[in-house]
Amino acid sequence: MLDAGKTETLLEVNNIEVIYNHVILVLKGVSLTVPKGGITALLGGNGAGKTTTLKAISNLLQAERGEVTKGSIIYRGDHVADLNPADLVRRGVIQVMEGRHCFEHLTVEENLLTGAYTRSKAETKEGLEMVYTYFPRLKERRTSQAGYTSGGEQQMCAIGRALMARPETILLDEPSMGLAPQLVEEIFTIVKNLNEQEGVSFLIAEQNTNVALRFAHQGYILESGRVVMEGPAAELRENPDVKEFYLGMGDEGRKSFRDTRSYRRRKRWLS
Amino acid sequence: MSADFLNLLEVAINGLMAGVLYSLVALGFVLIFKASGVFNYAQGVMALFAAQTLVGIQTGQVPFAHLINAIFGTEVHYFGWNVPALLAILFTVLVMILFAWIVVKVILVRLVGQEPIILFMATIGLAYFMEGFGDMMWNSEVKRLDVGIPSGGSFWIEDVTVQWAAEGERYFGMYVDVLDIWATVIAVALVASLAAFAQYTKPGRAMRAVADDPTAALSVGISLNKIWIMVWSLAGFVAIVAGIMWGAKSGVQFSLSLIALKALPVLMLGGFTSISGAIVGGLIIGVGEKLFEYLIGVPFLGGATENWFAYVLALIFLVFRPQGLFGEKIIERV
Repeated sequence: MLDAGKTETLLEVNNIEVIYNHVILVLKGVSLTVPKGGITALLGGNGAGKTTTLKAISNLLQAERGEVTKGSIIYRGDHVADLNPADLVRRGVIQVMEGRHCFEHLTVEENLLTGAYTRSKAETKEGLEMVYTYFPRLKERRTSQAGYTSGGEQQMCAIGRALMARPETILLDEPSMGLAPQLVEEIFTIVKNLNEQEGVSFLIAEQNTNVALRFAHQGYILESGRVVMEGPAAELRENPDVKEFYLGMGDEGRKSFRDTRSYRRRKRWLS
Repeated sequence: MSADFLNLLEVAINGLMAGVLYSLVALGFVLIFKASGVFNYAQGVMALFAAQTLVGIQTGQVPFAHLINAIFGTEVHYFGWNVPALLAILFTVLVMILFAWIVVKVILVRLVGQEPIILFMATIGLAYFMEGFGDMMWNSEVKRLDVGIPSGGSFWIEDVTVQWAAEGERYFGMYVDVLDIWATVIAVALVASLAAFAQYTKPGRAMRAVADDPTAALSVGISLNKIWIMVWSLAGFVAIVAGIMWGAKSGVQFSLSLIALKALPVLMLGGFTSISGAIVGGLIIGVGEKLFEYLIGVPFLGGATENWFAYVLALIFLVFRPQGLFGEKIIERV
């Protein structure tokens, strides 16, 4: 779907700084762009600032006493940092939060319907059909209470719920969390299909660098609140540092975890 | 049938109808607790305020009359007109919606993401503020509330039941207040429509979504403010109905706000999150306390058991079934 050369930029994050509770500086200048029709991966370890970046974009930060203090967030040429999440959903940007966050006491279908809160009745019906074609498993379980479905089904439910809003861009936070490798593969495949067939652009925050870089078109690597590396996914995959620190591979194949631990060389990009 | 049995039946029926009124108050709690996770201590005062407002509008009282007179040295108390009951109720509904809007915009919005205990404290503050504000606005006299619901014992029921008694029994028929019957009918209708609203409509679904996971609701584009205003308005509406019923029964006065305390054991019994729980809990407590008083309280314990029976029952429930009869199970995946 991503056509190199003549891509249109959907989302532009310029050098943003985020502070929680007026004191804790979490992002120290993050810039990134999300092209239309692409899958962009946002990689990094725990506490690198992936989730905060996504929440800054979707404006869910306010509910957690976080605040964008510097920089700008531009979606389709408009500044969106001061909008509320509902406005942003209407503009086509929706976030699937880390840890799935299904409405546990609602059935799977009710969860999906809630996702279409900003849509008309006809669009809701259409959306439901679309979600069920991509996630046949949700159709089977549509009358179960979401809280009692498996982790994989909940993740599908959360993505499906976001799709119901007919978004142009989905901010997907850690879809692999707590899932078996096979399921991770399944979910990323569906993401890829959605990207190719429905033209939905994705910004995916992910710790599982390996999977993310296989499915994404381009990637950013965050470390303690800064972007330390960016580029097309294929290039990042081949980068020796990324291999070493994120994929667990040295020049001579897979490394033992023990060696990596004692091996505390400064990363090349920090020097 | 023997007179003893008929007396027992009468006690149970009256208990049932008192229970309906408890349910009505508990319902207001459940609505707000479900949607915003706040235990709204002010629910009882809301009922009092709604009843005061209704009477005030109906009888054409000048709001803040005392204050106006004190400042301007005037002597105004009444506009000198009477507003029809239905129109007065409509105005009261508008006042309660305005009240909901103010509560959300002034208090709740600023406390987003705070601990439940802080929100609870805020509603305690709100309760006492409203109590004073209501008295200032409509003065604190005990008032009669009459919106045209018939009241008094039903002769028809008396006549019918008198024939049930066995030959030769001294029995004069059952005393059932028509007002109670009306209250029951109205409460049932109110509950049915609220339950249908929550289950089948889009805002109702959004309301349940907010109750489940406010952040996730926010993330799919549901505006929490709107849902909260809606829910507080609904609770205000329930407060009006409760206020009308209790006010018609025992006059509009301060003690009206204490019915909230009767709702607490109802909630513990029925579960804080269940609309049907509030109803069934109310009925059980209503019938339970009357029967207990009649069968055990008066003969053996010297009476006045109605004051504590509900709490003891609730305590037993808390120990053995903390989520209440119908409360949502805390879902935990293993």
